Amino acid sequence: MILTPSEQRLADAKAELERVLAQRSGARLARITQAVPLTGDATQETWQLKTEFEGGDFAGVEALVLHSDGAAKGTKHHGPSQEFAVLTTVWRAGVRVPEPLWFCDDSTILGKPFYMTRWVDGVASGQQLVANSRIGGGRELLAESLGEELAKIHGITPPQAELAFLEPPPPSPALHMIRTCRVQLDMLGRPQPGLEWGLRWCELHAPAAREIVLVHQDFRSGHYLVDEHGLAGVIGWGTSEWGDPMTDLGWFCAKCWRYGRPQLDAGGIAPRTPFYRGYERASGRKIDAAAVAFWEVMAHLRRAVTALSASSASTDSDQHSLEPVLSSRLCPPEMELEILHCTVPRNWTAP
Amino acid sequence: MTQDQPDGPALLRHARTTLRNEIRDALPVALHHQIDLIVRVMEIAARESEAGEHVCHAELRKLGEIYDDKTEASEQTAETLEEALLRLNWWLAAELRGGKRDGDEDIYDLLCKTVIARLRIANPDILPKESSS
Repeated sequence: MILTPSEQRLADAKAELERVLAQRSGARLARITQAVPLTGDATQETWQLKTEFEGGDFAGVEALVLHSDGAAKGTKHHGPSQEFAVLTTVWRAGVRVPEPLWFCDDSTILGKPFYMTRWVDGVASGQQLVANSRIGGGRELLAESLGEELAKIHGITPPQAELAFLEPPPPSPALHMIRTCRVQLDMLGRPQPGLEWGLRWCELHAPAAREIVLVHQDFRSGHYLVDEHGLAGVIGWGTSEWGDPMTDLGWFCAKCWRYGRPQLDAGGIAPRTPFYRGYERASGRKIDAAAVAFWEVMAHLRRAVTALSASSASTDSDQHSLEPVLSSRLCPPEMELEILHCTVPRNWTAP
Repeated sequence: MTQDQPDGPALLRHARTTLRNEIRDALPVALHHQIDLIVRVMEIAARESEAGEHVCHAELRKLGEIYDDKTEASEQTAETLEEALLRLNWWLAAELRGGKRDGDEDIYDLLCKTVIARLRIANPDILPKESSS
C-alpha cells in the first residue's frame, strides 16, 4: 500500500508516539490501534488516534486528536504551542472545547511539535450543518448556545500570562484590521479598486472598541462541533487575538459564512435573535448593532484579501494546489458584490 | 481566434463533460473533489474565452469616462489593453484609498458593473437572474 508522506511520517513515529502517550497519561502501555486523518484546511494536520491505555488516566480505549502544522502557510496562524495555550486558557474559562491534554515540543517524534486533545464526537462541516437542520436538534437552541460560548470567550481579558505571545491589543482593532488588509493588498502587486472602496468605507465608519477581549477571529459555522444533543465544542483556535468582541459577532453573522442560506443571519443556521439572546444573557453586554454591521463588511474584506493572498502564496511556492487558485478567482468578486451592497453611496457620511 | 471547429470554448466544454461524466466516477473517491475543481476551472476558462476582450474593453470605456485624460495618453503610448486597465485601476485604487472618491456615485456604478461582469465569468449562478444574462 502506498502511503502519503504524512501517513508515512505517522507510521514511522508510532512507537515513539505510543511511548509519549503512555508517559503523559501515567499508563504502563499505550497502543495506537487506528489513525484516521481528519480533513480540514491545509495549514493544519490533524489525526484521530484510537488508543488503548493500560492503566493511567485513560485506562481503556480513548479517542484522541493529534494536532500539528500542515504544509501550507496561512496568512495568520498560531503554532501548536500557542494554539495549545489558547485552548487551555479557554478550557479553564469554561468554554465548551475539546479538552486540551498535552503539548509535545519534541520534534524528533513527528518532525514537528504537536499537541493532543480529547476527541469530541460531532459534525463540524458548515455545509452539512446548514444543509441538514436535523443535525443537532433545535437550531434556535444551537444558536443560543453558540452565543453563550462566545460570551465566555469574550470574558477573557488581557493580560493573561499564558497568552503573552499574542500581539498587544491595538488601540483601535478596526483601524488595525484595515491597515493589515491594506498591507496585504499592497503585497499582491495588482490594484483592487472594489476592495479599496470597501476599506475606505470601513475607515470612515470604524467603531471604537468599548473593550478589548480575547476574540476567536474565526468563529463561524464550520468551526464548531454539533452532536445529536446540540453544541459539542468550539474548534479552530489558530487565529485568536485580543480585539473588539463585536468582531466575532460580525464574522459569525456575515453573509459569506451562511453557506447558501442568506436569510439565516446567524451562521446560516438560525436568525440572529437567538444567537444575540444567548450572547447578551451570558455576557451581560448589549450588542452594538452598528458595530456588528461594520464587522460584517470587514468580514467580507478579510475573506477577499485572504483568498487573494493564499493564491499568491500557492503560486509562489513549490506546493501546487488548485483550491486556493480557484478560490482567488471566485471569492474576491463574490465578496465585492456583498461589500458594494452594504456600502451604497447614500450610506457614506462625510469624515 | 481560430476558424477551426470546435473552437476553444467548445473544446473546453467537451473536455469538461468527459471529465465529469466518464472519468470522475472511475477514480477513487479521494480524487473526486480535485476533479470537481478542475471542471469548475474549465468552466471559467470557457466563459472567459467566449467573452473575449469585450469585458475588458467595456471596463476601459467606463474608466475612460472618469479619467478621460488618462485614456488619451494610452492611445499615444500604444499600451496594451491590459496595461491600460492596470494603469487606470491603480490610479482609481489610489484615489479610493486617499479618500478622493468617498461615496462617489459614478465610481460606485463602475465598480458594480465591473464586479457583475467578472462574476458572469467566474460564477454566474450567484447573480440575480436579470444580471447573469
